[in-house]
Amino acid sequence: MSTDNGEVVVSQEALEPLTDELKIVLKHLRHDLSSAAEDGVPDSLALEALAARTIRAIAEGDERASLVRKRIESQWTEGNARKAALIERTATLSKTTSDLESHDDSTVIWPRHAIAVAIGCWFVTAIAANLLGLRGVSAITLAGGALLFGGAAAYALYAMGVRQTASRVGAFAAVALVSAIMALAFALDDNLAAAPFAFVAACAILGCAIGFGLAEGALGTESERGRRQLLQKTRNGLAAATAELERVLPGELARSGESAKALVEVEGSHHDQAAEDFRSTASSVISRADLASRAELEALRESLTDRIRDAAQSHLTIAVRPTSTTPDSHDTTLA
Amino acid sequence: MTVASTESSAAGRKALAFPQERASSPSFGDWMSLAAAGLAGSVVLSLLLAVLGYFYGFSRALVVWAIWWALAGVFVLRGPANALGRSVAGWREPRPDEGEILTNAFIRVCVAAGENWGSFTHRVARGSWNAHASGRNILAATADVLTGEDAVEPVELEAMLAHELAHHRHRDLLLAGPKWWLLAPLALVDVVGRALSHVPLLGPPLAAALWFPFRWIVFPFRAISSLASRPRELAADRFAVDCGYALPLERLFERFAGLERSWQGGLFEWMLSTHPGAADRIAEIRGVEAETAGIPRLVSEA
Repeated sequence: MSTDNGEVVVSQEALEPLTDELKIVLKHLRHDLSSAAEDGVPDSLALEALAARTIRAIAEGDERASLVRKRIESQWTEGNARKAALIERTATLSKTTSDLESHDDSTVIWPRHAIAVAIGCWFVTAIAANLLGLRGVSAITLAGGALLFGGAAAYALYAMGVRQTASRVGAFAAVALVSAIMALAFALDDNLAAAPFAFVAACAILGCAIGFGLAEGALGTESERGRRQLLQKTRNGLAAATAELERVLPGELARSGESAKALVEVEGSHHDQAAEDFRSTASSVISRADLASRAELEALRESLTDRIRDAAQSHLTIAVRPTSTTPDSHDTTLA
Repeated sequence: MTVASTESSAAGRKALAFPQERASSPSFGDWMSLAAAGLAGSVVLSLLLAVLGYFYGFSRALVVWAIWWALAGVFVLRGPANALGRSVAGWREPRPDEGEILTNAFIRVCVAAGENWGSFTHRVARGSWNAHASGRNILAATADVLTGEDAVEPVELEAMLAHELAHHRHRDLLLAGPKWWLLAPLALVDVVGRALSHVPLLGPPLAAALWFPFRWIVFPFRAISSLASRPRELAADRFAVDCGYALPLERLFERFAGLERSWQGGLFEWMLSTHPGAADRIAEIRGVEAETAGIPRLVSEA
């Protein structure tokens, strides 16, 4: 049921009521033509009256057809308005998608986290080392080791693709702090009496760092999560808009075009039939007339038939241009 | 259906690019109804467990009971939940014409809601004039909604699907599978009752004796489920309004209101009603419309 190539396979269901109505009109018309001829009125007057009745019947049929036509035109207009809006929306969503993709916070947040946690490790570990009585080179080594290991662990996790969630941020902070504890253990290697203090300090550091990492991670990932959700929705919306443009709207617009074409065909065929009915009934009237007036009546019949055909032609107002089925086309006219 | 731009903002209000979910996890009432389902199932299962405990030891019976509870969790997973949703409801695959109607309408909903239209499955449900959500990604509508004399307008079908999509987005169905599993022992009782009712003479009274406690065991679950369900239905309506379907939804509920008058009952019926009344829903829709007035949407009704 398509098409761009001009061939129309018409679903007649939508036009069925119209066709029925026209059939009724034609039936009445035939009856009028016959009865007028049988009533004994002057033949020329009867032909004039029958022609007028035929033209009126065509006009009445067209009034009904115009309702169907208005509905088709309305569908067409709405479809095209929707199409235009979708094209606009698709462009906007494409831009939004690229904006959101270019503002990938994970590239910013994670090094920032790594640096923040590493500095946190260094700061807290340095205080702990100071409290444990370590001075000078040992404290600097400890703090430097924590910084080095914490930062390295953070970047390693980032490189491994560990991203997004607060729990993973917490895990990365924990790994960084385990590194700090290792540094602490190295520093305390020759001071076993300080081991319990080191243990308590390590626990405190670990707790602080995990808390820090979780809080930072939660705050950081909240915005990142929101960005990614919006990005996903935007991609989905873009895909759906494209699908609507490519498969929903073309079908609907094609159906509107087919209906319009079918309407023209139905109208045209019924108009022709009305003219033919008039012509055949007029012929039967003429055949019954006397020989003297036949020539005059035949001339009148031809003239009236032409008038009926002109009237029928003037009512065929719907001209259909091929329906576009491509989203890029802006040929949206149903004139 | 006409189209309004989402990009401009009217009356200084920011346009809704995509609607925000009105909920993100099952409600407290939903969890309570899960507990009630577990309790009801446990009551029935306790008879079997007692027999099992008597012959094989009560610790083993307790393990079986724990496994039964644990298996309920399996139905939270997408695969089992969808398999359950597809099979238990007995819905059928849509015919090509029905499939086209459903898909086309759903694509339009996805344009407004920012949903992945290809990740959902469509079904044709039993019954009359309704739409349903099931499993983790199943959307269904009854055949008369899609085709025939009572078929709704395309934009009304979109409104229905937006409402059902909201149930998925709000995770209203996350616990539906586990509830079904926990209530399965009651379904067994029902099956036994039906079989008994066909036995001559003693069958019907025995079946009635079985069904009488069955109804009261299941009543708390139904009552709690209904209480929990109604706010979520309103939340789903609000989401559909956020998608731009206020007027079509109103029209649908006006039709429902006409249907309701014929069956609206008393307190008992109200307690077991899973959906709010149509009048309440229309009032809710108008409220949300008033709150978000001036926000342009992609879909609007002329």
